[in-house]
Amino acid sequence: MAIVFIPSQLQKLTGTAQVEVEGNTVREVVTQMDIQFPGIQQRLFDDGQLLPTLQLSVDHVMTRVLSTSVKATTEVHFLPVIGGG
Amino acid sequence: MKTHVTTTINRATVEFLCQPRQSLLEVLRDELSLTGCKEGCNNGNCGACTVMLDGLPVDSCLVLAVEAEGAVIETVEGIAKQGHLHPLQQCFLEGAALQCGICTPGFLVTAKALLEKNPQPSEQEIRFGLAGNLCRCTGYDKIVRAVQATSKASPES
Amino acid sequence: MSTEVADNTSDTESPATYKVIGTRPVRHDGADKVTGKAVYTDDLHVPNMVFGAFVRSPHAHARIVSIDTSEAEKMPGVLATCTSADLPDPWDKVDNLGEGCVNYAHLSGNVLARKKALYKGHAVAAVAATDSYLAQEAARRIKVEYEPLPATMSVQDAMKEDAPLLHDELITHTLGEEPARPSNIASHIQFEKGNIDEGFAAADVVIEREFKTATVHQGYIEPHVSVALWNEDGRLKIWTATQGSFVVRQQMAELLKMPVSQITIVPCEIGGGFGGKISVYEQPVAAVLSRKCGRPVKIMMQRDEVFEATGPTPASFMRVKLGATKDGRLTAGNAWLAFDAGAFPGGVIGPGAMCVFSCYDLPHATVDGFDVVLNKPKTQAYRAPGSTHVAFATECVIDELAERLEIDPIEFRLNNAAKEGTRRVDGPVYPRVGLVECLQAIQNSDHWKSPLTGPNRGRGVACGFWFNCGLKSSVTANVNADGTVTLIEGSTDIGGTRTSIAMQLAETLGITAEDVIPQVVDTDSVGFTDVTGGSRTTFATGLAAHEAALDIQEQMVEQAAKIWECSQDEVTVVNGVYQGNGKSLPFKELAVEADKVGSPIVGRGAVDPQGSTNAFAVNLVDVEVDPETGKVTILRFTVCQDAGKAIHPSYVEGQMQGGSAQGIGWALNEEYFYGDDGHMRNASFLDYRMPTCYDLPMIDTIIVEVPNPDHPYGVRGVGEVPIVPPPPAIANAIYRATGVRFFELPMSPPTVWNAIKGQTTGD
Repeated sequence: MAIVFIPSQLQKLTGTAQVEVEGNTVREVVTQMDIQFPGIQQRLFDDGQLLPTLQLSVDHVMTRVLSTSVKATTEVHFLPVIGGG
Repeated sequence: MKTHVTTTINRATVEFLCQPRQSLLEVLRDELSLTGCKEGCNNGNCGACTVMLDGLPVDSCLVLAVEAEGAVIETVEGIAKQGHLHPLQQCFLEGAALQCGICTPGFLVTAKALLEKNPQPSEQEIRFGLAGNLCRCTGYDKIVRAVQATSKASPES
Repeated sequence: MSTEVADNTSDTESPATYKVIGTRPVRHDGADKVTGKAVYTDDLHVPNMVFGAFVRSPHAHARIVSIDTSEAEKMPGVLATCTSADLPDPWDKVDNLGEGCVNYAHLSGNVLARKKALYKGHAVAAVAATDSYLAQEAARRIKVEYEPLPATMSVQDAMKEDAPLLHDELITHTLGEEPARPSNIASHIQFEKGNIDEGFAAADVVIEREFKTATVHQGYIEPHVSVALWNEDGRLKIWTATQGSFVVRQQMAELLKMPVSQITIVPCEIGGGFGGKISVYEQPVAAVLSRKCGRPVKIMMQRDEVFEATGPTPASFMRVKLGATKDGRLTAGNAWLAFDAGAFPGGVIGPGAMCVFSCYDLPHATVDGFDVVLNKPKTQAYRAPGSTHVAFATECVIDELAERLEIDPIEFRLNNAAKEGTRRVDGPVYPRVGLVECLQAIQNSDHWKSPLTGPNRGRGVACGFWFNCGLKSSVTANVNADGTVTLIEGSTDIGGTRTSIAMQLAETLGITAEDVIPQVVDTDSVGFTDVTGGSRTTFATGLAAHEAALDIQEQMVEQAAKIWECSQDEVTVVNGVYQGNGKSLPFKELAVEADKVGSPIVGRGAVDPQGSTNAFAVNLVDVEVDPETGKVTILRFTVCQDAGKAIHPSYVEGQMQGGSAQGIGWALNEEYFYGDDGHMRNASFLDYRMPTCYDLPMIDTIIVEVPNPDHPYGVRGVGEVPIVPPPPAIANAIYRATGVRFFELPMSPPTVWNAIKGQTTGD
């Protein structure tokens, strides 16, 4: 279970800014979320992987690792990737 | 058509052949393997190619190699002597006055010339003296301090 | 004394005592770099080497009708030519380079233009010849026929409905619904937090301002340069000036469609990067020319090529609106940000949008960010990419709000500063961060406590934030027979990182920094390592070195148990001294003994730390404005930054001072001047006016140390954030000196003079 913060541009699909979704990893959460809100995964993923232009914040740590485990209080955010200088 | 040029570089007599269009920087780097002087802009704006020419710091990219006939040249390779760093080089290292290091040879040549002319420069004199050399990494603070530290430690003081 | 270290270790954490960390040893590559011996790429003369030169578009936007290389190819000494037809057909694949992402079709099209030239200076063809003059002459004889097209040079123009399109099929990427029609808007990012209408309704004061910033360049002194050798066995070797050899290898493999194992990248010493030496430019072209002529090919850009055809950082157009209550609490913020991506999508709008309110605890906010293509070179990262733009906007509005509310500008910032638990507008919540400590350190500084007097003078304050990243790093550490350790690493050393990484290995092992011999090696000689960038190198490669040291320590314990004929459990290690069975030896002496008895001791470290280490910086600046000329002189400058833990304080100060100087240049002078024809008018170091020694004062530094809980020594990374606060700090100072607020960068003498004149004449 995790709390997914829905990007504002996708909130038309969910109707809310946050949703609680079942799952033990980020990937499971996203799969489950797509069952609840059909089509949402294809906006965030390409060919089973997170869009290269996106990264995740899982428990406030930026990552792109989809096997990152989640618990009931975990927040998942979808954010743009950051380049550095 | 190449021109024969005889010079003194870092205290040794050096002869080379060059094309009339070649700059001193090109000849030092490409013909004589003195790659310490760097090309940053090739038009006299950045100072990375500074060498001493007859006692004056010059942008070697703006000097034609044929003009060096009979000249006395010192490059960054000639600053350390007998296996010992010059105090200025030592102060640059101890004061962390370099980051990427590409501008460092030019700064060392210019700063050494400045201190030889004015052993106890003020901060403003140092800044004015080094204004023809660009550094993009350090913000110049530690470079100025390294020159000050060299000046303080010199026997003239 | 220019430097203070404000120790902000909290009461619960006892300040660690270190032997090596926090000291200031001479850097390991120092002697090479002060004697001219250090080998940068252009210093290489590979046997049988020839030289390449580019043909570049004279038009900002043009269809390429034809390219005729025949005349050039007939010249004696000309060995090969190359156009985009020599590159494999690119695939529309977007890849993550660790530091941001790249679309290889765009990258290939940027390396050599395909159907259209999209900016003045865009590479169209190249040639290799036996000397560099001949190569340039041959390049002039390559005939390119163009059909010029209208050029678009500002984000405002490029976003118009009827703007000429750069890419006919570019559909705005958003996470939500995408528009049906193509445009120059490559992407639209949006963040929302709370309810902005409620937020502004609760405000007593609301200020909204519009800002513009100019295109600026990283300005590294070493031009882009590479030597490529494509061998007859199909292996490709490239010596190059890059921030990341493995990332160059990855890009080369994709662009040339060959396996990474066929490519070796040798990173030479690098003369500055600041984000601009991550993308490839000349490397694939040198490689193709080498393949065609069978000889090593060197290509070095001239300075005007660097300005016109590598990646500067974007110009921007921004609107920021903030509201606050009478007692000085921010209630809401709204930002609308359009950044120029250059000729291909993928600018730095993402981090810009994430950073715009990142210094503050803002209950309600919305952010819209647009990545806009136009006829300028493809933009790239430049030190905290995107954050400097948005800090200029936000920090100027914050300053105006504080003034309107009659609250001290530091107090106002402290009232609202982001801290542990603050939820950012883009969503995540901060762990322990050091903005409050930095603001307090500025309040306690001698500079803040010394009043500024005199006419035309003013003092300004501003904050800045940058994420910093982790990413992958590998090292190998070999224990030598004399007890020293050779540290093999893949992080190119741009600013002393050989030493800051070696110091962490030394600290963990209990040896001196001088006992470590760091070596930066090629991509065949060490494990994958991401770029030297993102303020990650001392943090992440340092973490790998720490891990390698722990690995060595474990092997040393094994050997000690053998030597002392006891069990491993009986061996203890305290501060690098090994004890067991009544015997005791320090690391170096034990290593000498171990070398005689056991297998070689080799440590490995391979890490991929997730997350950002969150750096904050605060500037305090005093300026004097010459009312006759509009010239702004920096009288005094203090930068305070949370470094987590400063491994080598001199090089931390150096990053703070260097970043500040770049920020000062951005604030006061640096800009690309474009003519109506889309040509850059100032593509030289004389006319693109970077700060010289004579333009700057000493830059005082205050290092705050709020340790990063996710690093054994508390390192946060320091390189990028110091560029962020100078433009708004200087704008705020100029306001106090002149009474005029500036909303446009740079605040160059003509701009300032005109504004002061406008004020006094009532224009």
